[in-house]
Amino acid sequence: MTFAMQDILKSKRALRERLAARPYAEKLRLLEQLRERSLAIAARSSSDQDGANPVSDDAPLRPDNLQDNG
Amino acid sequence: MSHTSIKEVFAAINRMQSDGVIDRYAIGGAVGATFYLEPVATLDVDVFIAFHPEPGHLILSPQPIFDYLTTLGATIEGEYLVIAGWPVQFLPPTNTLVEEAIAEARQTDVDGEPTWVFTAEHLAAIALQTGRAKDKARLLQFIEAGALDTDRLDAILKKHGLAKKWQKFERQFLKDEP
Repeated sequence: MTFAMQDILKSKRALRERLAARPYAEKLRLLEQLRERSLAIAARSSSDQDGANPVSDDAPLRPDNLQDNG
Repeated sequence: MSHTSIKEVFAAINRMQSDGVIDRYAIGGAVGATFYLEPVATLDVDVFIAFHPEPGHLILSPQPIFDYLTTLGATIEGEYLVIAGWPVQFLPPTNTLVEEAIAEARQTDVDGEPTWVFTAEHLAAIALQTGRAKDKARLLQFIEAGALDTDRLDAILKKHGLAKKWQKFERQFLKDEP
């Protein structure tokens, strides 16, 4: 593994080419997964903004989520 | 989250076509582009259709499509019909380029379900014509992926009066000129 930008871009391009070469039905299944994830993220983001559950177990660790119990 | 399936969308549209509600159809937008590129994230499906004009009506109406598909269980959300969890937008051809794209769409198969998809060159030409930032980004994806037959694209662009727009796009994005 390397942090050389040219290598990173090259590997990204290779991944895109491999994905593009897959059968259409398989790519559509990937697209369905992408959509479901996008909707889940949007719903989560929306509920966070509503303040429905500001300090849940899986809420991101932020200074305002940490409580001093000591 | 409920299961969603584009294959079920195609099946419903095919059924609608065989029952004579629509003539030809073709998938465009990101779902169409995914035929040629890596999966292109999207939240909806664009279906371009040749409408059956209703007798006595000059204005084309999507009502027969909405009526037909709601009886199959689709629901209406604004301009969309939600089929198998996917918002689907039915679009009439608004110009000769889109009419040609529907007529020349290529048939493909999704796990045994036939469907029709715009050619890569028509998707690229429509993206150039539409001209929003995301359309230009998609056009660049097609070029970068080497997915276009340049002679065929050139002929389509000339035929539909898009040659100047292409030259501008080329200067701006491919030659790095102002």
